[in-house]
Amino acid sequence: MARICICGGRCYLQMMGKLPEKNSELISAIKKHWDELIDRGQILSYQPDQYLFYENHKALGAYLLCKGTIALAKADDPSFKKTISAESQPIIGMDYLVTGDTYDYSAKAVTSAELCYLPKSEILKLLPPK
Amino acid sequence: MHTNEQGCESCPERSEGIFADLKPDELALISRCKTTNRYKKKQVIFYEGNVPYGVHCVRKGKLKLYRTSAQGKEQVVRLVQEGEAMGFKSLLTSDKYSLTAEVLEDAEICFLDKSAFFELLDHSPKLARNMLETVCHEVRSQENTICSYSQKSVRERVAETLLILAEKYGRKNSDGTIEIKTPLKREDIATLAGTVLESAVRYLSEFKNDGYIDLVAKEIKILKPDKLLAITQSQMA
Repeated sequence: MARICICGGRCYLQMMGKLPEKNSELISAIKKHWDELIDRGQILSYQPDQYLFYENHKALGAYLLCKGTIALAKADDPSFKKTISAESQPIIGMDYLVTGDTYDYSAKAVTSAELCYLPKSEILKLLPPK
Repeated sequence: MHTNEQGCESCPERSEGIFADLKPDELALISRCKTTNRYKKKQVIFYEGNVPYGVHCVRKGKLKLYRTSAQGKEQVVRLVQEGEAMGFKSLLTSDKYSLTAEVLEDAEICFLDKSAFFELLDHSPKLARNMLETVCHEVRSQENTICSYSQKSVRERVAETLLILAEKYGRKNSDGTIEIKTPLKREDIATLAGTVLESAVRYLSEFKNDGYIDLVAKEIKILKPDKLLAITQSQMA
């Protein structure tokens, strides 16, 4: 399965520095990279209402949602509410890690959740040299 | 709000913890790899039962480490302050976190991930020695706590807990009194003293009525530390 980041691929493009010519190349490259990262990742468990990360924080790593549901929320914008389920094995937080921006939202477990934590240092090793 | 990254070289709190007296190249490695975030009161750094993914070092602020019982009751095990590192013991033993780390007052926490930490450890005998010293101090402190639980009365343990809080969080005034401004709940003080809330509150009230302490909301002012010390040593007399 090609794991898709919830940012829609923005982080991947920034990691690679360019857009591959064909979509199939993009998907296969994403899959290869995610699988490499996931091999080095570790499973974290969260109970309902426990936080993965907080709004305005710098990313310590990224997360692949394997089981359960995660809610994203902004403290100063009650209208922003997004729920992510594990069905498509989405990646959470990769875009912030790659860009170095701080999180625009907090992420909290809605149900018991399992996530594969992908350490920042491992992800940065995959970045092309500048 | 995140913070501007400040190098470890200039961190005033570093001299208190496991990263004290490291070589410039070792500090440069930490500075390059660490991420610093600012946490608000009640935010959680890591949860009991999760696998550790790095070391957290407190640059500013105070935290409590607690274990939650099957009934959902928190048992505060340890208080953490500036300069102290958390999570390295679980990393070294490959165990899951045995405690949850929650912020008591707004804090700045630096995070060094697992691979960077082990890379540093492989090259730094000083770091290994610092960690051993820290663990030895913690073991000594826990031995004292166990002895306290079995040998001292609840009244003595509550007095002792106040003195420990004073040492860790207190600000000494010129008149000898000590102000403890920590947002610990009475329940936290009770679990630190190894007793139930009702007993802790009873002895806090007794100490207040005797003029040894003053209680204003969550602030505690120790008016007569020598009297509390005398209570903790009453068995030894």
